[in-house]
Amino acid sequence: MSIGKIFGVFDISGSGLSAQRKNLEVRAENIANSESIDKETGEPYQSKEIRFAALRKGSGFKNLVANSKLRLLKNSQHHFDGNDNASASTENSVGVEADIYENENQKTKLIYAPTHPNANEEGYIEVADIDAIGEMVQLMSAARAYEANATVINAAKDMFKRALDI
Amino acid sequence: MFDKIFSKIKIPSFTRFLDAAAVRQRAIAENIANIQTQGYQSKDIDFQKVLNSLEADNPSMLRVTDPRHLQSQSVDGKPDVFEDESTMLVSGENNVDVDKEMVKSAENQLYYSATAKIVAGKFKALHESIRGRT
Repeated sequence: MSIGKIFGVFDISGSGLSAQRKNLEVRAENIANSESIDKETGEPYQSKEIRFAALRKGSGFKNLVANSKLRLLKNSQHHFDGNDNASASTENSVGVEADIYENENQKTKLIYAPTHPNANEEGYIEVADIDAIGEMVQLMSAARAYEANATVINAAKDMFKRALDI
Repeated sequence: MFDKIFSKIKIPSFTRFLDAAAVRQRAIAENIANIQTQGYQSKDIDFQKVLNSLEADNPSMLRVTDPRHLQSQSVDGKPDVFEDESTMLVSGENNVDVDKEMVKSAENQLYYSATAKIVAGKFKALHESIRGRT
């Protein structure tokens, strides 16, 4: 087992942490902007959504090291192979990736605000109809998922600390 | 010579076990990280296979002292990562069960710590015997 593979756990759970933090940010933005409109155009706020995808291709620091590694010349059969060939399909995967996109199907609602500078002739402004309960549920699940990732990191940390005691 | 001593006190077996536990922790980390990924399939390793391979190293197995003896089945102790094909939507998005994963993580952590402790003890004993008692 190479040292890089050991730290793979931290890469994976770290990507989980950052994905969940992003999720949290999206929720915060949606809630904060639930009654926002564009100052210039008067358009309602476009709510955002997050999409998670399992990362398959190696990326990040580990890959950078692996790609830039100087290949050792192997000119005798007694030489060791440079790459370790432990079979593990988790090898190429480095956790999760989250990307934020704008929710195209965002419903809007009209609010009566006759003194609002962007109000129409009838005195209404159009704002995004954010599902507050849905956002709160997502927020809580993001917080819990963040916690779970942190727990796994702690478990792995403890494990490898024990290994150093050998 | 040291190879022989090491294998006598089963250092390679324990090393393999530690490796397997480390790979398993990776799988768990990935499952947790992808807890909200649509269509993700949870991963695990065949831990039983690793345990079986440790048993195969047991000296109580029949010894092969003659080429005509039947070889005991050699078990490859490499941990195979497999994907859970079940389509049950446990978490709503995929088949990752967070409770199960956390239990697995805790269990795995204990396995690893215990094994590391045993290996440390073995090395300590070896060290004692080399140094000799005064």
